Amino acid sequence: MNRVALVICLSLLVQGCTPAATKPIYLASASNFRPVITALAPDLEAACDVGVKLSSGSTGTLIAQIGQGAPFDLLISADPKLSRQQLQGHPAIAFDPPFARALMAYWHPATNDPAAPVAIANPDTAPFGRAAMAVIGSDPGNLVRGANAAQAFAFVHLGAASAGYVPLSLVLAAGIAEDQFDVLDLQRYPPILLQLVRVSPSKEASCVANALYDRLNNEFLIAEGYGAP
Amino acid sequence: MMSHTLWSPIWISLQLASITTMVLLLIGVPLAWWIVHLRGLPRAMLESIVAVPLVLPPTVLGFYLLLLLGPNGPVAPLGLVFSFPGLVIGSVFFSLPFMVRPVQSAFEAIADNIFETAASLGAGPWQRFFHLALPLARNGIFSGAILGFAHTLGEFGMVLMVGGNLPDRTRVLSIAIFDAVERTEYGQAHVLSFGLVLFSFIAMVLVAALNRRAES
Repeated sequence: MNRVALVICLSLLVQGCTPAATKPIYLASASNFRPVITALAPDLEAACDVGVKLSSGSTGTLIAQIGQGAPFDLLISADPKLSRQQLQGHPAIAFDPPFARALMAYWHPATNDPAAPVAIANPDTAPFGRAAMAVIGSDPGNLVRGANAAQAFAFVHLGAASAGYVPLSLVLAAGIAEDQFDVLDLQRYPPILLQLVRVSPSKEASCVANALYDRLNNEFLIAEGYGAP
Repeated sequence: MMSHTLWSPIWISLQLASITTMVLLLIGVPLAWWIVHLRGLPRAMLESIVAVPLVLPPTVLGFYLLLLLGPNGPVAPLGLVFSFPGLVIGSVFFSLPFMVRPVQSAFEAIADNIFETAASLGAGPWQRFFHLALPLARNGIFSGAILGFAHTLGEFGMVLMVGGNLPDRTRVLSIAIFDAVERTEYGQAHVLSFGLVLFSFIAMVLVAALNRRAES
């Protein structure tokens, strides 16, 4: 009994040895934007002397978590309409205008089993899922749904899906060969607009938001798989 | 050198499992002792309540904890949702049967005449519990602590719902693995997953060894 107590106490003591960090800013991002924000995070941290703590998921899930009290300071939403609908009453919230339009690709790796299902994000919570359904139409066939666009991408990447309707940003970030994917015509699906939602009015959160905008010029966004809003 | 992305969820998981195990020891052992001394319907009811998390989907417990701890719940001012203390509360509920069951079995295996003899020699209920029951059931208590610790480390659905996925706050090992797979960072997922497999195997070996020792 004493040995178990000793192990437990030691593990708690070591916790106290963890170095104190700079002020954390919790940034929730739609999963399609994760590679971009991950790449920019060190710059944002240096510019504002904060620690950027990144969480990603489907926009619907992240919005629901904020509504339930999740302590995010900033949200990069891929559904401005839903953000406003669900978070309008949230204290001190501010909705910036959209800064980019996300593009969708049909990724069809030649090595994947063609009989496997096609991966899409969950249309109920992810704008990329709804966009995929708009392209697929009334005959969905053999589909598998990921919780968000990144999980749909992972299904294809792991070979569990034959192909997938996924964010172009994730395809480019993974360095997929050009003959393995098609960029889908923008007219075929409703716009997926990215918007920054300022959940916290803190000066550190504002600094991170401003530093982010400073780095999101058109050239950079196009290279990352986005277009003008 | 292990990166912060790998290290942070390991530490959070170890803290969560350690604190949960301590709370489980404090409430699980007396609860098991109480169950052993109940008879009839009250015993069946209490055993069932304790055992419910064994068959309940974690998301059900996560959903109700979210309602209870969330901004519209009765304990909203405590700010427990999406926090480490909220994870501890959820983990204690969810791992309770893994502590109570082995301890209860260990108490039941102690021959009644030992307690009767002690009582006839003047030992009161507290003395019988602390000086006889606890030492004689120590293997069961060790097994319960190991199982409670290991089960807390592996929990996913409930902690995702109650804790979200906040780096350095509530992102535990199982969620970090899920997150790494979504990012197609399979190397990181492998390291964390293999660590959990190894730990789970060691935990099961320890429990088996304790059971053999108790039987012999």
